[in-house]
Amino acid sequence: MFSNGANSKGWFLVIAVVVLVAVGWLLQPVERLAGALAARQEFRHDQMMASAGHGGALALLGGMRSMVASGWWLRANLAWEKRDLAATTALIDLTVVADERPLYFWLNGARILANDMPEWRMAGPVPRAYRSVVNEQQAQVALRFLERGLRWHGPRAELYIEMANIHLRRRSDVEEAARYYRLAAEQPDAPYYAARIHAELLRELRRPTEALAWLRHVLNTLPEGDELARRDVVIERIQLLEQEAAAL
Amino acid sequence: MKASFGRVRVIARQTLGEALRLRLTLLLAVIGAGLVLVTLQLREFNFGSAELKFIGDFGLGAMGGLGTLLAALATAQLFFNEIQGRVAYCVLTRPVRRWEYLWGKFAGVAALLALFVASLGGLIAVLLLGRGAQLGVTGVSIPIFFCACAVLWLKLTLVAAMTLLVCTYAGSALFASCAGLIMAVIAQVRPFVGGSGGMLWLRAWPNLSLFDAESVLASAQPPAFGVIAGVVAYWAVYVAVFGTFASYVFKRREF
Repeated sequence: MFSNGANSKGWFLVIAVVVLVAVGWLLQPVERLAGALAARQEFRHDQMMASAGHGGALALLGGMRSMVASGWWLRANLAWEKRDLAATTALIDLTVVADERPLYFWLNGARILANDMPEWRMAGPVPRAYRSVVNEQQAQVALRFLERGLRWHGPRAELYIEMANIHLRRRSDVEEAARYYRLAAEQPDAPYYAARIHAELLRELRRPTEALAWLRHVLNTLPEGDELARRDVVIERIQLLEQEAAAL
Repeated sequence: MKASFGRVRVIARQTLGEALRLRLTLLLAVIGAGLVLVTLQLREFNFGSAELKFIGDFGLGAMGGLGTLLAALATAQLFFNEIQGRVAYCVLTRPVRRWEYLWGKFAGVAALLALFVASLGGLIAVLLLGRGAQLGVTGVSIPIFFCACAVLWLKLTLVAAMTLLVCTYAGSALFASCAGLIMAVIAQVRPFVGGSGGMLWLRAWPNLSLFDAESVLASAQPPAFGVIAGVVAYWAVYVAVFGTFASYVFKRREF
């Protein structure tokens, strides 16, 4: 193939490898700069590892993430109908590694893990102690799942609210629920109700002074013309807390 | 230099004409258009994201997959058609340098890929606008979508450059196209190589996952100028490196 024989071919290969290594090394800063355009590589690594052997890796490389994730979500729902705990858990995981972007998968996946699965695990009447153990285990699974969502998405009010709901409803941990509602309320896209629920939970925790201070702070941030902000409700609760404080 | 550029342009034009007559090009374009149109039916199958986002994502995925196939297969087929048909010999007996011939081929394939991406991208944009008007929403920004298409084109041309390098020393189109596709897959999974271990040598290979059209589409704002400049510089350096290697090997190739 080469006119000067094998020797020339060998030298070319050596030079080619050296040039590629040098170019790769020199382009590292450019690669880091250009990397801002790409999805975070640690997610892609997880995606590839999790989807390997499930027929999704090539599709993910080809850019069919929404399609693959939708397929796995559909299968997760079929497994959910059969109350197949292992398959549903695995398929929910596969769905979010295929496409981590839609919050829909994270929120609904967490709801299945925390709310539906404990019921599947407790067929018939079971002792209360066992019920609370199972609830706690599934709540922890769902919370770990949502924490992964937070790592991948960054702080999001929707994810914090879901975590708060799990703490409140499945674990009956008002303290933690209040903490997560506050985290949710502090996010820029938070719904107004997160702040109000945080205050209510503080009241429930018998910390009215904190609740009052929080509501006064929140009131200053609420827009005047927005009906969803429910300024009237916040003002009413502030007055109630003030009356309670005066009565003490 | 001007004369060289003129010769490269003539070869590129001739390559593009030949590429447009390939059945493979037509087949992949029809499959691509079919897949894009099927998206309208598949939207029922989408659960996670907004419908317009799904159409954009799916369209870019179809373009990426089929475009990679086109870049590897068409490059090899166009190169070996001329070698096996002895057309290359006629061209090279004229005052055309081998590197000019090779860069002309590359420019022709790059133009083919640009047409492929532009036509499918245009079709998807029409779908996005039409469906957006029906729903009364603007879920996907069309300028950002075209920016994503441009990033995809950079990726496809880099695959074509890799395949062209293989073509210059390979003995058959089948080997060259398979090797080109394997090189593309390696370049796509290259960022998953850890900081140490036996696979570290892969870090010398270009990183195709930088050309992430989906992430461009997912971001609400167009990428910063510095980032785009970085991606283009990265692409240009690797195209130049692969082109130079290919020119060197082709210069020493015996027919």
